[in-house]
This record gives sequence, C-alpha cells and structure tokens, in this order.
Amino acid sequence: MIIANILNETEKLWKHNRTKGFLLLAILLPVISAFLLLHNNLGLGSNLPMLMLRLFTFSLLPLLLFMSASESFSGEVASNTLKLGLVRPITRAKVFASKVAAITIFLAILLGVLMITTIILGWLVPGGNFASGLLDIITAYVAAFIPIMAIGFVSVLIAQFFNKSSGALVTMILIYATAKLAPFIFPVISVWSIFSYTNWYVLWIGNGASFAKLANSFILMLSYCIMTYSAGVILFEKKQL
Amino acid sequence: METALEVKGITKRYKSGRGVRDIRFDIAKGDIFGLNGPNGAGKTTLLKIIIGLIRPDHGSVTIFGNNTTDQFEQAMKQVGCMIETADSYDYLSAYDNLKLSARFYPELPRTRIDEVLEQVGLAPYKKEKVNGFSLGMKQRLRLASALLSKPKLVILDEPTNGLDIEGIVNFRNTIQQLACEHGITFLISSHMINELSLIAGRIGIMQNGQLIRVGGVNELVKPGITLEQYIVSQLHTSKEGDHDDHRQYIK
Amino acid sequence: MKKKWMTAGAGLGIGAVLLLASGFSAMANTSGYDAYKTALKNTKAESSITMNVDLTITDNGKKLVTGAADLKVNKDQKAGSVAATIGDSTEKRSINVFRQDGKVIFKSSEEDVYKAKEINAPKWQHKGDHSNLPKAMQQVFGTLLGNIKDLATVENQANGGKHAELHLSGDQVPAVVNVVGTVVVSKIANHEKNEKTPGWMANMSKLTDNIKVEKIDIDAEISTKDILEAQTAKINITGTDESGKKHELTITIHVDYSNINKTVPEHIDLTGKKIEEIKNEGMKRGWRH
Repeated sequence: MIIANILNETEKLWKHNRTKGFLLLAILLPVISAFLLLHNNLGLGSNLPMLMLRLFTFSLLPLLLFMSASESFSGEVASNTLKLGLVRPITRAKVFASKVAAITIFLAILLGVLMITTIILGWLVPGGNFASGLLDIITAYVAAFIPIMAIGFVSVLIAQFFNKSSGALVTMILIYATAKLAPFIFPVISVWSIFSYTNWYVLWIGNGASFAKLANSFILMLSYCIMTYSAGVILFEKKQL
Repeated sequence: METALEVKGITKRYKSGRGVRDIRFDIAKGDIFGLNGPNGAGKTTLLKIIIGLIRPDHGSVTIFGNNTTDQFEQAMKQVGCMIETADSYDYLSAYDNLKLSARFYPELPRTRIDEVLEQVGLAPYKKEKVNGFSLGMKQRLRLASALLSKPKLVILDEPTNGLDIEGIVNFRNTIQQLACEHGITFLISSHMINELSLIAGRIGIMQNGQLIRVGGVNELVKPGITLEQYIVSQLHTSKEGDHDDHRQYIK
Repeated sequence: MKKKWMTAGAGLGIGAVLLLASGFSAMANTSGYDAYKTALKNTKAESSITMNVDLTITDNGKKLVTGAADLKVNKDQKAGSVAATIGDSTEKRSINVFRQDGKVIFKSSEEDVYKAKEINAPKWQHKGDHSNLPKAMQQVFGTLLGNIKDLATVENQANGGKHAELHLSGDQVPAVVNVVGTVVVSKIANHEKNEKTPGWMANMSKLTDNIKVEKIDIDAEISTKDILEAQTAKINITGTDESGKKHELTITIHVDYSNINKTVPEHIDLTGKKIEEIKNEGMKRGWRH
C-alpha cells in the first residue's frame, strides 16, 4: 500500500508545473552560468558543480521543499483532495510516510540532475579538469542531500499547522530567512539550527573534517529528522477533515 | 444475515456544541440504507466518522467485522465512498484521477477504470482535466471513484447534488442494479426524502446530531400521509423531546 | 492506537536527546577557529606589541614581490610606528608612519617631506565600547564562513602552546572566494599600465585562462598564554597566460608577534625637517551629513 501511495504522491508532484520548472532551472541555471563564465573569459569550469551546489542548497532546494511540502499537505487540505487518499485502505501514518518519501525522492532527483548537468558543462567550459575532483563533487552532492532533507522534514511539520498552501509557504520562507540571519546576531544559534547546516558538505571534501565532527553534525541532523517526523505524524493523525 | 456496517454509540462533540450523540444502527449486507435529516443534522459528520476522516470521542465502527480504529486498512478495503466535501485533483484528467485510486487495489484488472467511467457516463471525457468539468460531471467522477474498487459497502454523501434529471435517474438505476445483482450494501445520505424513498429499503432520520428514528420505508409511511409529512411530524415531536432532554441535562 | 502514539512520542524523546547531546558536544568542541579567535582577541588586548610582517609573491617559484613591515604599537603611550618596504629585486619603495604626540606622520621614500596630520577622531569613536564593532564583524565573518569553520583544526604542541590551522584545497575553497579571486587576478592582468605603476606590478604575468584558487592555508602558532606568536597565510593561484604557459602564483603573508608589553614604538624627531600639514576638513564634513 505504501508503495502505491508513494507512486501516487510522486505522480501528483510531477504533474505540477512547478516541479518541472525546478528541474528545468537545475539545467538552465548552470547553462546560463557556464555561458557567463565563457563570456567573461573566466576559466571556472571545474568550479561549476560547487558553485551551483552552493546556490541551490542555499536558496532553490529549500524553496522547492517548502513549495512541495505546503502543497502536499496544506494545499491538499485547501483543495479538499487530502481526503481522497485517507479513505482508501491505507493508514494515515503510511500516507504521511509516502508524502514525505515523494518529496525526498524529488530532492534526490533534482540534486542528481544538477550534479550531472554541472559536471558535463564543467567539461565543456575551459578549465574544467576533474581529474582529481570528481569524487569530491559526488561526495559533496551526496552529503548536501542530508541537511536539505532535514529542512524538508521541518517544512513538512510546519505545513501541518496550515490549511492553505500560501500561508504555509510564507511562514516557511519567513522562518528560513530568520534562521539564516539570526546567527549574525547570536552566533551560538548556528550550532543548533538545522538551517545553518546547508553547506555541511564542505566538511566531506578533500581531507575533510575529523570523523568525530562529521558524526556529531550527522547525529544533530538525524535528531531533527526524527523529531520533526514524529511530531508531524502526530499532528497528521490528529487531523479532523 | 451478515452485518455490513455496525455503528455503536458514536459521539463527537465540537467546541461549537454541535456534533453527533450516541448514534447506534447497523446495516445488513445487501441493504440500501438511507440517512435523512435537515441540513446541519450531523449526517456528514456521522459519515466522516464511519470512514475515519474524523475521530469520534466515543463509540466504534465495524465494517464487515473489522474495527476501523485498529484494522483500518482491512475495513476500508471493502469500502468505496464519496464525501460531499472531497474533490478530485483538478490538474489531472478523469482517467488519471481514477488511476491514482486504482493503485490501492492491486487485484483490480486494468480495464476496470474504463468500465467504471462507462458506468457513470464519463467515458467520452476521460482524457479531459477535471478543472474543466461541470458540477454534475465532477459528481459522476466521484461516484466512479467510489465504485472503482468493486467495494462491498458503498457510502455516498448527497450523491445527487448537481446532477441533472437524466443523471439522477441513471444514478438510481446504477445503485439498484448493483444492490440487486451484486449484493452491494449502500449507505446514502440525502436531505431529499422523496429521492431516498425511491431506492432505500431502510431509512434513518437524524436531527440535532441524534438518530431519532430508524425503520423500513414501508413501516414509516402510514396510510394517508406522505413520507414527507411523516418526517416533518417526527422532527416536531423530536424537537419537544429534545427540549425535555436538555432540561434534564441542566438539572 | 495507543501503540501509535507511543511510537511517535518515543521518536520525539529520542530525537530531543540526540539533539541535546550532539548540540552540546558540538559547542564543547574547541575548534581551531575558536582557538584562533580567542588568541586574536587576547593579542589585540595587549597594551603593546611588535609585529613583523613579511609578504612574498612568487610566480612559478620566482620571487616577484617581497615586502616587509615592522609595526610597533603601544596603546598606553598612544604611539605607534610602521616601517614598510615593498618591491622586487630591482626596485624598492618604503614608507614610514609614526603616530606620536597626537599626530600621524607619513614619510615615503619617494619624497623628502614629512606629512603630518592631527588626529581628531570623530566623536562617536570615543563613546561606547571599542570592541563592539570588531565583535559584530567577527560574527558576520563567522556566519558567512558557515561550516567551513569546522575544517579548522587545533593541535596541542609539546611546549604547551597550540597550533591552529585551516587548510583549504581544491573544491574546499568556497566557490565564492574562487570567483572573486579569479576576477581580481584577471583584472590585475588586464589593467591599463601607466607610468605610476610600480615595476613589480607590470612584471606580473597576465593570467587569462583556467584561473583557479587552488589552496588557502592559514596557520597560527599560539603561545601557552593564548596569545598569537606567529601566523602565516598562503594562497595558491594557478592559471595560464596568453601564450598558454602555466603559472602558479603563491602569495605568502607571515606575521611574527613579539615584545608583548615591552614594545616601544619608533619616535621621530621632526626638528629641522620639511613638514607638510594635512587638513582633514573634507573627512569631517563627510561624517556630519
């Protein structure tokens, strides 16, 4: 049953033009950047994957998650379609799990498309010499997936409080912006806030950070995932439609 | 006779004071049960509790022997339903909407979607997106979605809303055929008693969140008065009774 | 039903415990960045200090530019002096700056004139905590660095001191730094030459393609008293020039800290020297709005 609903949720996400738009951005933005680099004679080809990863993890991927989560939960409440899945022979916990899974799958696909596009473009632009860096790039993209996924879980939790996707989306963006700015004033927040870990992947490339440090950050992100998921399930189970 | 649906002591109270109180009834397999009552009597709330959209404060719902709280999946495997306030995905075609639902029933043959679209008369429009559909067409699609899984119990909330005359007749024939030929059980709510009396075998009357009378259509209608008149008279006596009940409550 | 709530509740509990554990352990972990920050703060707080700065830029191992500066600061005496030289093997320029008797005096090797300027700091500088601004800057800088901070490490030395380092290479170099670095280098390469351009800048090879910041190494030696003893920053940039020849530019800045609390800045006797007073009216107006 859960597989059936993951397919359903993935199909629904895919049928939204917004999702396709994001995929297109993941291809177009690197292409445009590559042209800009070429035009300005900057041989930054080998930097393209990292440059784009920074840009996407900072802004576009969280935005994609915010939109998907608010549509998948709050939006479906508003359009009276959430009930359709809930009256089928599937428990609410499984409906919740499959919605989260569909969002996560899209994040993975988007990161994958971005990585492949930037690597190919990097080769085409002069200066793209990946002899040593390819493994680093793949590692970075895989590592980047984890904090962004945790942010997705947080946005799923936030979506439970709203019955309209616009309200949920605006709130998520405001929270994100606040969380990004807060460490400028209170640096200690950057240790605790999941939103400060979007460029976590830098700890994995090259000689990287120590194992203890990596494990520590990983557990912190994991704890965010567990907590927001549990709280999200409770709220979703309690929903009266 | 096997019991298709058993509702025991369902109570749900909203902060507004409305809700349903201590509802008990059961439906035998193959019956068509009509739920009638004025707007706001609690019909939709009751149906939503039965299919698990709302959690009751007290009471239990059993569908073909499966309790909906603990065995939700098994219980709902037998159920197809159409809830007034549930819409289809308007960015998908009629066919795709049903395709999503069909995934929950892996044993259904691939041809089932076309079959059910044919049954409700939507076959010519199956590739069209739902956001272009008229109210009646959307209603037909909801009915198709409820019948899709060949359920043993079909729960329909105000099914004829938005349907034209032809649609209503068509709907009635479909229901009666399914009940007679396949032994499918129906629970249909409607505020239009005349319409219900044409198809239902038994009728339950709700008012102010309570089920005030349950009986066969023939038992309820006494010679000389129409069912309409009977219902109105029942609502009146019940209102007085309800009043007493309230006074007792305050004491 | 109950089981469901308990599972979810347990998830919340375990998550919270994990969060607290990992958060506090992350905070307790003294990173190289924190060790360096503390040392820098302590060093700045000392009343007097001498800094010897060395700068070299090499191109494929050949020295292009060397520079040296001796900075002496004594806060109690409100005095300071800088003696700096910069140039290549053929040409050297030097500049001396003195801060004494409420004046700043400049002397360049090109001219025989001492330029003096009264120090009348704008009023806002007298008020409030001086360390406020740097602290805010530090926070901004730290936040911008983000997780890169965590790549900095610290090691305890045999003598009781510490060695803090941040070594970034390849893709670890933040993409933004790389872009900025590349733009700067290519701008230097393409800029219009005129007579005032020092010889060493003109000699710098023009990198046109494949410019990349390969490496940034920052090392700091920290004394037992948590004060900076020395620090080195080394930046490696590679690229090819118009003829397709590969170049590796290395910029090294090394600073030695010494004579803590014992530094006496140089004092210049201006009697009989050519002096030119500089008025700073323009500046004042600028601040007033």
